[in-house]
Amino acid sequence: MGVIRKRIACVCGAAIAGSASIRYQLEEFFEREGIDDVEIVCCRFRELEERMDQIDLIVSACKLFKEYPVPTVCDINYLTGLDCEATNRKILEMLRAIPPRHVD
Amino acid sequence: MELNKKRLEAMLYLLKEQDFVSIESLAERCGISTRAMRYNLEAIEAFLVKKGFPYFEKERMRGVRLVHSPQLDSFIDQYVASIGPYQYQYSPQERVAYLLSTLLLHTHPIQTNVLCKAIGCSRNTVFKDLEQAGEWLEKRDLTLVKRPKVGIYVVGEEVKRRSALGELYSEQLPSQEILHYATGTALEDRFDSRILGQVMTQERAQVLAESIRALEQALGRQFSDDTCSNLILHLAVCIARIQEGVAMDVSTMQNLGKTEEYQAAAQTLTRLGGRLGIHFPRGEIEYFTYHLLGARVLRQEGGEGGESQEDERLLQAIRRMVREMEKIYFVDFGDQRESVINGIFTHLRPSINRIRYGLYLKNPLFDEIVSRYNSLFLNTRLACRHLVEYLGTGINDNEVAYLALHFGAALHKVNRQPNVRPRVLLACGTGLGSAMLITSQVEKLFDVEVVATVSGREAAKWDMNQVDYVISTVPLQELPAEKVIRVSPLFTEEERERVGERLAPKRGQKARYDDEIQVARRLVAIVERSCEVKDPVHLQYEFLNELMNSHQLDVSVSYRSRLCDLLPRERISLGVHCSDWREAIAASARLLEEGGYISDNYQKAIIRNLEEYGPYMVMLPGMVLAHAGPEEGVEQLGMSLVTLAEPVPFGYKEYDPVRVVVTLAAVDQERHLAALAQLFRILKNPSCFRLISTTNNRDDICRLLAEHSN
Repeated sequence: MGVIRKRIACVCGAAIAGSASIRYQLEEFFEREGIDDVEIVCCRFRELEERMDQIDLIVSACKLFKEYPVPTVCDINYLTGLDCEATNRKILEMLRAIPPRHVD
Repeated sequence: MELNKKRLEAMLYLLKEQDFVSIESLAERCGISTRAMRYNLEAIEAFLVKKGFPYFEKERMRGVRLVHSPQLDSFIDQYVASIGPYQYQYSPQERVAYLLSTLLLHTHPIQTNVLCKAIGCSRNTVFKDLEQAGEWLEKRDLTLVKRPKVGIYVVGEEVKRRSALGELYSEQLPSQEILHYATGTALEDRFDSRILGQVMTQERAQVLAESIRALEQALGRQFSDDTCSNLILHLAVCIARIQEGVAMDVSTMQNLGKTEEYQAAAQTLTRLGGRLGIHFPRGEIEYFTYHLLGARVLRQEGGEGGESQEDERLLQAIRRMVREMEKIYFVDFGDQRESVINGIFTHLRPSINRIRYGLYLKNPLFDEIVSRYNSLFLNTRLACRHLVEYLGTGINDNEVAYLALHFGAALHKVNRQPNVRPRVLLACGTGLGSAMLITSQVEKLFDVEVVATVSGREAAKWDMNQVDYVISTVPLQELPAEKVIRVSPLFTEEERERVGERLAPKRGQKARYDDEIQVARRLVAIVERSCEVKDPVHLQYEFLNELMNSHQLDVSVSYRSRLCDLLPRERISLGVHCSDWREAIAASARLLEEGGYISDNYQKAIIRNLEEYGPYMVMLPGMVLAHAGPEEGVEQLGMSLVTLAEPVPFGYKEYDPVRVVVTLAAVDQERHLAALAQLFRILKNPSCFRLISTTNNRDDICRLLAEHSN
């Protein structure tokens, strides 16, 4: 048995308008906070369902119009690169509440 | 309906593939456009249908597939095996090559109808092709003569005819095809097979290849494949011309008969002559000797011979060339200089006779060298004037390209010397994505050497004596603060300026200026070759001035991720009437499509995404950011903006109705991000949004974008 990282999926429709921007800002935030057990991936909506069993949290810059079995966070501020601190902290709290997953 | 080379190739490929084949992959395989491939497929299909076979199976997104059957396989096999001159349809270029080969090989006049039969075309077509052939010959000091009731023939010096034949075959026939032909293997390419068949039978090619192998043994050398195939062709042409009753004149070159190459050539041709029942006169042995002297050798038993006076003159010319290249590039080869000179000498020594006697050898890397290293190629050509002086004749660009490779390698070594440019390590959270984006910008904007792109953790382990600066998107507290330049992943204008301040003392402004000087000097030299220049220094200054101005324009282009650059006035349209969200998307996308930024598929992809995933592109109240993936038809990075006369709903209750439609065409995940951030900072400001959505004046919006594009 081994512990695996918690995974965040940054999503948007085409992986160009929001997900890359979110990933950069989250990476920087986690680095600053000394968090190193979080893995961040970018993907499109259409890829999300296939990866759902490997994802713990979804972050998006736009509203999500589908229901997903994991917590979701949406914040347009990720597109501006400004005022994301509160959302970042919220994400951190949510991650802490998620138990680490184990794999064989 | 018969099939030409490309169509045959495509049909055989379809036959081989059991599954669907996309038109794009077929086009790429045949080296033609997809549009041309579509026409070719129609022709193949029509041909097969006429022969009683079914139409192709076609599926959108998958391509086409032959309806396979044993009868079809058998028919195509038989058809390909039976293709002769009447079935094979030559391309215009092949027709001209075939005509040239026929006319150059023969001395006697040839009737037009014979040529028509040979290439399976009408008289009109043959006459048109002959015009092209005549122009080609004229450039090589040969004349095409067309005499009514006599026929068509070529006149000119025999040495120029041979040189033209060598050039023609070198252009048309890959050396591997000739070597295959000489091993008795049937060639897949019908054209190559036919044109080779004109000059020698396959049996004769085998005999000639054996002679070349014997010659290699006699000389203790191993020729390159190119040389080997050239020598085979040379002998074949020589025999064909002797059989026409024409031979080369005896050379005026002194001491040629004493060379090792002459002895080996005489021995080989005497043996070959005995085997084929042909007498090779002295002029032919000497001409063959020139080819041997210019032959590219892979390996040679024993060392080089002693230096002659001729070698010393060549060495002096090379030294002058090398010095000129050092001046052009403002470098000092230093300890490397002798090694560069020797390398070029070793290359040139056997090539000198080839160059001197106009024996054409196609450089297989020519196109790549000229396109990828154009500046190096042109500078080498300039420096070659010393070689031209020594030789007393011009140098073919193919030879110049070989020399450019030598200089390229030498310059590369010099530029890798330490302490030439500041060494920069790029670091980010993942070592990918943003770091790659910043790397490309840093390399473009500053004269630095980016030693690696790594993650923050890896950066902390680097030996800081090996790097001058670390540009990082993540905090690196373990590293000396004076070495670390912290930037955001968006690498904003302000951050670029900040990096510029730190790197300024080491920035390559001088190097850039030196580049421009090199180009200016080269331009003056070009002009001086054709005109009398009264004041070369002033002309150089004027060229330099123009080049520096154009460089400033280039710099502005490199900052395209600024919002005001991506969203110019002509891609803004105000008060557009649309009845629903699809029309609104179409109106905005049209502005990009008209500018060539996207294909029509892009708009469909946006609508498809909205239908499938809901109105997620409505990012702010009243605003939609319409976009799809780069692969959906984005040609270049750009944006468009449309405001609607009557707002339309997108199905997102909280943010409907939408008044402002921005369409983004992104070429990747990175380059547009700074501009996108600028856009959202504007749109999130209620007063800015109000202005954009209500103004009737595009200049208001442009002003706003310009103010926030930093």
